[in-house]
Amino acid sequence: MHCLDYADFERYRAGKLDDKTGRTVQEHVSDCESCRARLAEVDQNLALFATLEPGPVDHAPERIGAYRIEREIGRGGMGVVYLARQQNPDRRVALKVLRRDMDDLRARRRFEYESYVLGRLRHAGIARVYEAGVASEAGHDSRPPGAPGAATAWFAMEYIDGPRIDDYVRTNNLDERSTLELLARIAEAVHHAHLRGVIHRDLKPGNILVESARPGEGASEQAQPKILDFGISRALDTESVSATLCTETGQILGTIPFMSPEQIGDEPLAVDVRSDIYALGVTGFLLLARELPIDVKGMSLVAAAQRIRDEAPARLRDKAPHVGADVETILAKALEKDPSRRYQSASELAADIRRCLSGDPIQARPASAFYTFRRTVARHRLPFALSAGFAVALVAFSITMSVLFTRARAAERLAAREAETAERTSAFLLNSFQASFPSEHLGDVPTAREVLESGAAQIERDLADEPLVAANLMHLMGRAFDELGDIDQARTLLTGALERRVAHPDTDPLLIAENRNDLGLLEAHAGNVARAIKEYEQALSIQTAVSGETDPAVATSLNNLGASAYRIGEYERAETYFRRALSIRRDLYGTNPHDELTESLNNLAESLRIQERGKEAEPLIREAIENLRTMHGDLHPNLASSRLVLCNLLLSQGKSEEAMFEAEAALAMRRRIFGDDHQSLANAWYNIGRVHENGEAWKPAAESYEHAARIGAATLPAEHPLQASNLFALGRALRHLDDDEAAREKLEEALAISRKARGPDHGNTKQIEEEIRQLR
Amino acid sequence: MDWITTSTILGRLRDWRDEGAWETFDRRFRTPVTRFVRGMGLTEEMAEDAAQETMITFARLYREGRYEPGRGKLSSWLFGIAYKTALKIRTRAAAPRENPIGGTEGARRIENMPDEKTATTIWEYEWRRFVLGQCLERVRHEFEPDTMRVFEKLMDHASASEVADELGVPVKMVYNAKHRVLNRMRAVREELEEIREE
Repeated sequence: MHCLDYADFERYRAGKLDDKTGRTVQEHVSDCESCRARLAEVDQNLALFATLEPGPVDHAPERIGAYRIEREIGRGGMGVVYLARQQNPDRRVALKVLRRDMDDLRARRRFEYESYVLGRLRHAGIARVYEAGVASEAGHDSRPPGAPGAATAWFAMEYIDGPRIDDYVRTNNLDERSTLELLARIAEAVHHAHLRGVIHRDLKPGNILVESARPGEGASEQAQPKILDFGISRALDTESVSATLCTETGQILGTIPFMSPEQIGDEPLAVDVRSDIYALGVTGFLLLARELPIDVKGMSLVAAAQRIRDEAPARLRDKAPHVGADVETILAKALEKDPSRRYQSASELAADIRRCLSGDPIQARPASAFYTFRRTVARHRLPFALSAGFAVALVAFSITMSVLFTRARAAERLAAREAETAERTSAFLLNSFQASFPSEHLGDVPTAREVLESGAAQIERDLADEPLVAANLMHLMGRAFDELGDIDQARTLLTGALERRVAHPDTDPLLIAENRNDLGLLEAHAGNVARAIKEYEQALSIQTAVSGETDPAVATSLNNLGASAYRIGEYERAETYFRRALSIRRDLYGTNPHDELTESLNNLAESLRIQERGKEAEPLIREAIENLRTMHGDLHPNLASSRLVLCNLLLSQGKSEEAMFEAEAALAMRRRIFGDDHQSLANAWYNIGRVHENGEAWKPAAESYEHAARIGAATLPAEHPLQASNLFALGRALRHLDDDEAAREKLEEALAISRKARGPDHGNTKQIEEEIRQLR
Repeated sequence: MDWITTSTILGRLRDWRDEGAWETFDRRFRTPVTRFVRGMGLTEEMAEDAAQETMITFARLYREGRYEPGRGKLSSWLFGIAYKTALKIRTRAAAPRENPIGGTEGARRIENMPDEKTATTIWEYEWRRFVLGQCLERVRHEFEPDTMRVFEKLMDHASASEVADELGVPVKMVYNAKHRVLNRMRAVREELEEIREE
């Protein structure tokens, strides 16, 4: 007898083998060592399996609204779907629970409005939305609606007991005709929604279930496809694909092949009913060919998006030769890159499918050779623009000469224009600086701020019809104002620069990316981390699309994203970004000292340190410190930062004395560079306090925290969470010194800030309340 | 995504500037606590209060160094806090209201609370459920979505042949997927339990 596999062992244990086979197995197992081990493994596994529960093992709320949760039935990009029971009327519903920030009144109103519209969609092919609402996250705190923090939006939908359409087609081995019948029905349902102003935006097989046909009826004739989640993405205001691309990479990947080129691009507003038609085309292709029209398997998000934008879909009959020519033409029309060349409504698509089914001539026509050629050229626009010279050489050999030549000339014009803009920019700068240092004002040297202010005013006045020059200047000055700490002025300028660049057809997209990065930095300085992240993500997506994944500028955006993720406590995400940035910079600089490389080493080390992965962090931070010393000697702001990272690392390893040495060195360095009252000193003091606290030396700890709080009060924006931390640490130290009165004062102050900065239900706020309760 | 160990989560609570520490900690441990106090007969609202209070007390005591990993299991310690908190909340909710018929409603409710032994059983059940949930969450990302789909369908009481039919894969593959996931879960459970007792 040969050795047994898992299936055999399970049958054996379940007593499903006849006596004779059972005995043979028994004999074999007693002789065969590897089968004995395997059987023991199966026994342990089955014991574990028996203790598992169906459905969600974790995090399932018991009820939401009037619905009692029975079990989890799915998990998707936007949330979790539960099977739930409603009492009145008594029915089963699919309850889709989406974790989304619903605090913004606008988002809330929109959600209410959209769910009202969705409730009115009634069609046999669309799963009905019965009800929608917003609840505080069940099983967690009982936050009233509208209170800060993430709330849970939910939809109670018709529960469909049936497989996904692709599974259905495959298991029933549906032929072309039956598949087309299903597709026509889906298109008709989609049209019904379109007529009521609802676009799906996320049509894909996972969102289309098939209700089983009644026994005795044909598989397709009576099978009713039901579309789920109609309009939900819009109700949740998640139109901007670029905003979700980076944040929910894993989730969006499954959706990407079904997204139309315009949906994937940077024009989310261009999404209309024809995007749904594209998705129907992909779905139809997949059902008939069992393959995607554009293969993006194993590709990065950006590469996949680019391929969808640029690459022609496969020909259906190359993948599924049995399919009729008309069907291929229909799907090709649905899959056109240019929305205006697709079916203009889902009913047109449905009608053509029905014509095809009844043997009538269809209305779609195959694309002409000329059109196909034009698309090819358009697809290569970017490389041509980048290597105009190469393009010019190429055209001599090509029938595409005239078209390409036009492209090349356009690129040259663009380059010339950019050069001109740069020249005008520097001339203008020089002018305004000279104007600010007039000889008649001897002895009255204007400050940097005054120079900038006069320059900013001049831009508005003199450069109204040269928007790109104005944009460059505004960008430079915005950055300078940011460094001076003038957030409002900096924001006006950086936003102004961005608006001008976005509006101008000749703008270099990389400048837009740089502009967005600087705007992100500004928002991060202002404490608006979410806004910062948005800007960085957009910058990153431009940079990767234009320059590829390994460009130095990409590393900058990744680093910024990492820093923002770190600031909001998302350390794993921060780590991922920092790692990617470091790998780009390592490729660039090797182990040679370089500021950017050092920045990456420092940041990755800190993100590891805070996750208590000191072993991984230590070599990185030591390399960073060594590099900094080589490059800048013993006095540099970055060196101080890195030594504080090392301080925390040593503290977590229980090496208090060494930790204190690093913290004090950092403090001394910052004092020499910035003076006694600079914001960065607060961090150093806080760290010194922590080292004292660790040794339960409460008096010096309180003194250090006192310094941190004093500097924080003077330099941090009002209601900054860091100041709440300074005061909390100080309050706790004072409590340990039995100075309850002073402790209460500091803790109350920390509480007020934390309530505003983090929200009343944030864990840290609650902990301050707890600390106050501990006072006598 | 890397799995964050329990000791990391707890360690982070000590740095008050760590903005993500509380949320990670809360997300990890609140579920078993809430389920336990519900099992103790607290209303939904009381259970939420009790869970919240348990988490905050736990964090404070931990920060003050009152939990020594060497001295006992994390789960027993958490249980102790949750149990006391549940009793307190129950008493607090019942105490002020005088029962017009005689005696106090509070006293009767306290009588109805499960005794410590029963409470321990409830806790052990919830903790086991929690650990298994953690195992599953942790291994989920290590497998292809299709493998997990097979596994979840099996957990949902579908038979191997039903799953094979539905997903269009050979039955053997279903069994393989099941045991691959279970093998991994067992390994992970050992790690998790080790961490609990460190």
